[in-house]
Amino acid sequence: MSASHPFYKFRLYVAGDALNSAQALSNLATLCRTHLPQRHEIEVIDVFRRPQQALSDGIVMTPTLVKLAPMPQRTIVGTLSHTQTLLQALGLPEIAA
Amino acid sequence: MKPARVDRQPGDEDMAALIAGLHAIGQKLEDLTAGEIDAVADQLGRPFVLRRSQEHGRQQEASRQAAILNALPAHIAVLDSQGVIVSVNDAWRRFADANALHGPRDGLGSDYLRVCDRAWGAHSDEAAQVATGIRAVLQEGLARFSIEYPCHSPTEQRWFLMTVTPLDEARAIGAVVMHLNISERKRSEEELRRFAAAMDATSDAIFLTDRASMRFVHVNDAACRLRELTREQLLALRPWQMLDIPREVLEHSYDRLIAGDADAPGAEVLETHHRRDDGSHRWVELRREAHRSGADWTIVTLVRDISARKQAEQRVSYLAYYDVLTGLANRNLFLDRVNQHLCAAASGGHRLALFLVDLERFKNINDSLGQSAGDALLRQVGHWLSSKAGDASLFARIGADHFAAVLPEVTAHGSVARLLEKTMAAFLEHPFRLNDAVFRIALKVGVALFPEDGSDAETLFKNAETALKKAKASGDRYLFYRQAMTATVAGQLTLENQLRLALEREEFVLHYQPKVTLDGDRLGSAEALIRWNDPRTGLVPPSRFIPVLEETGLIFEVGRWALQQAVADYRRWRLAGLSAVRIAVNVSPLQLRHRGFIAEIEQVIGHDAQAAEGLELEITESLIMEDVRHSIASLQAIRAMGLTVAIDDFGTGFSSLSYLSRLPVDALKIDQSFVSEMNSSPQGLALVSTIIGLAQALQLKVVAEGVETQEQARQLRQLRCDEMQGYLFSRPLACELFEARYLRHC
Repeated sequence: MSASHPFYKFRLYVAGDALNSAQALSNLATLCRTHLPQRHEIEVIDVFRRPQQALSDGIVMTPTLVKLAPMPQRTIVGTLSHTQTLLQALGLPEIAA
Repeated sequence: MKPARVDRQPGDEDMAALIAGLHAIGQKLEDLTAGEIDAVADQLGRPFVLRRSQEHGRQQEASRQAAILNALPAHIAVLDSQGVIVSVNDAWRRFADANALHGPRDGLGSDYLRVCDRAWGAHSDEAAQVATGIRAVLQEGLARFSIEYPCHSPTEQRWFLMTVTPLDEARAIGAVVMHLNISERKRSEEELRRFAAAMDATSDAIFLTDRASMRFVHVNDAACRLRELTREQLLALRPWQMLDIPREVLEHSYDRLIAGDADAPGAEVLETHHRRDDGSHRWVELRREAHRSGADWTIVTLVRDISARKQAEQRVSYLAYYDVLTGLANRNLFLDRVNQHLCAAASGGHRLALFLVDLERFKNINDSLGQSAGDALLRQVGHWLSSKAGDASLFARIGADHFAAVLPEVTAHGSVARLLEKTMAAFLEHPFRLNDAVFRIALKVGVALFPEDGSDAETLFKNAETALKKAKASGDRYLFYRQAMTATVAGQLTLENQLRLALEREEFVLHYQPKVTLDGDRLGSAEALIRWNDPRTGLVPPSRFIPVLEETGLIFEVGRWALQQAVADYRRWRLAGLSAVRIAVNVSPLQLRHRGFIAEIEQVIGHDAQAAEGLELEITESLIMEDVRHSIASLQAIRAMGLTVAIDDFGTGFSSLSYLSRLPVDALKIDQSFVSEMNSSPQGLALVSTIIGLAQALQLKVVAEGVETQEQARQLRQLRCDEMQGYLFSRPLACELFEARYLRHC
């Protein structure tokens, strides 16, 4: 994997299939398919099933997206509906144009 | 003054404030997160779902469950704890609409228990059961109730399955009623049941085999019976195991059948043996057909037990080749076997003998003791013959009292005659037991030899038959075939026809030969002798036609005619005032044996006592001795009518003094052979002298036959023989001549 096309690892914390959580997962999946094909990995954590993990990861609100790689780590809360904001937040400005 | 203490009880205001606070916090959170957050966690990490998401989740869950319920074909209703319908799915609604069951609002709110309780008519029983079931689930904690029931509409046969389950197993809060139309399933079950019943009703065994899995998918009762297995055992067997052949072989057969190969085993009917566990063999007919079933093929194998048919066929074939009574071969099989022996004889260069055997007196036994005794005798004879030879295949029964035998290899010249003599002597000595009495049976045998008398079985058989006929007509016990015999037999056939015509045309005549008295040549009596006045050839001697009359049975009619004619002549003489003498008429052995003979004589003489006195019957000695008991009875009956009886050809038979004393006879006729021997040897004279002495001792009249010389006449007079007959005095004369020469007016 070249430095200009790094591999993205995400972790998405959701509250079951609640509305916002489902929207967040859907938006993330669309973004990855469009902008990061073949170079992403999404781990979904349901806080109802694994509340201790959310607690130890310091997650207090769901849905919350954590970009684990590439560094630096970023945390974004919400439905991930605003693509431009999201791209910036994930450090993908060059694709934004 | 101290201020009063007020207890800090949480009051309504506090509670309202708390709730308002919580709402405010919730609203604050919603606002803060712009509605994009579903849950927040407290310090312990426990997620707390925001109200908006909670409501959304509930709605989503409800609509999802409604969608699921509505997608189901079953009619579903939720009852509350009292049995009132609180919710129904689309299927329930549609059914209720179609059947107008529950009034308005799709039955919602109606008391389902009451509906059941009030049901009446054909289905009230089922409705009562349903109500009981629902109550058990609602009130008694029953985990599940189900019932299948028919509910036929005017247009179709319907069945329903109803199940009732509690909404909550722990609390009696209501129940789910599911109501499923199972008519299709019932119909296929019914069809399957009918199909199975039809298959089980047939006596043919049916095996349905799935080609892909090579397993039986269905077998009927007859199949189980055929294999003597239960249905489970049979279904567990694999087809090739059952047939005891390799799997590949059977698969190949099936595939050829599927491919429409006309030569495939089973496409045609196969007949095969099937051995049962108990070792008994069954014949089965096997028919296979391939039927497409979806993407796969089903092989239908029909197996029919055809043992009964096979047994019948074998029985028919047995009947075609065997004599049922004795179990010996019949004529067809015998000729086949002889032909085989002939092949061996021809290649081995040896001779072969074929015998035809006739049982003497068989007809007598059959007539007097009955057919079952006759049958028993035939069986005993068959058994005696085959056990004597040690090989039943050498014998056959070829007629009522005729047997045949083959000697496949004649070893030495003259051995056949020796074998015959020995066997016939042994046979004659053998006591046959019939109805608790012992009988000794004599045989007559005709023999034909290969290669002299024929090269095939048919010819040998025909020639042995000719020899047998000749033996029966003569005094010989057995005769070998000679070519001249055939000409005789052929001649006899035409002779028989001529004799029948002669009887019709009244060509038979009686000639009379006088018997003269001892004292001075006076006429004592006369013997009537039958002659055939053939218009083409003139008088035919009796020796030429009497045997044929006996063989063909014509003797009965001709014999009756002779009696009638003799009586008629006697009456005529008397009426004419002539010195009528007693007339002796010869009786053939066949006549005397015939049951109607006595009645026949009665009829001929009528009630004329004088006619009876004028008639004497001459019966040969050998005939009387063949069946002494029967003879005595017949002779007594004849004499009771006023007739006299003479023993003809006396001395040629085998009478002993003891028999002779018991016989109810009046006269003895010394056979002419003794009379002609009288002058040639002292023994000859002694014999005649003894016979005359015997007759006198028994107070019988004695007549000498064949007296030809004066010397014979002189000696007979010296011995005091009562009457003499012979050419010395007169040959037999035509009636008119006899009348003119011997009968005088009284």
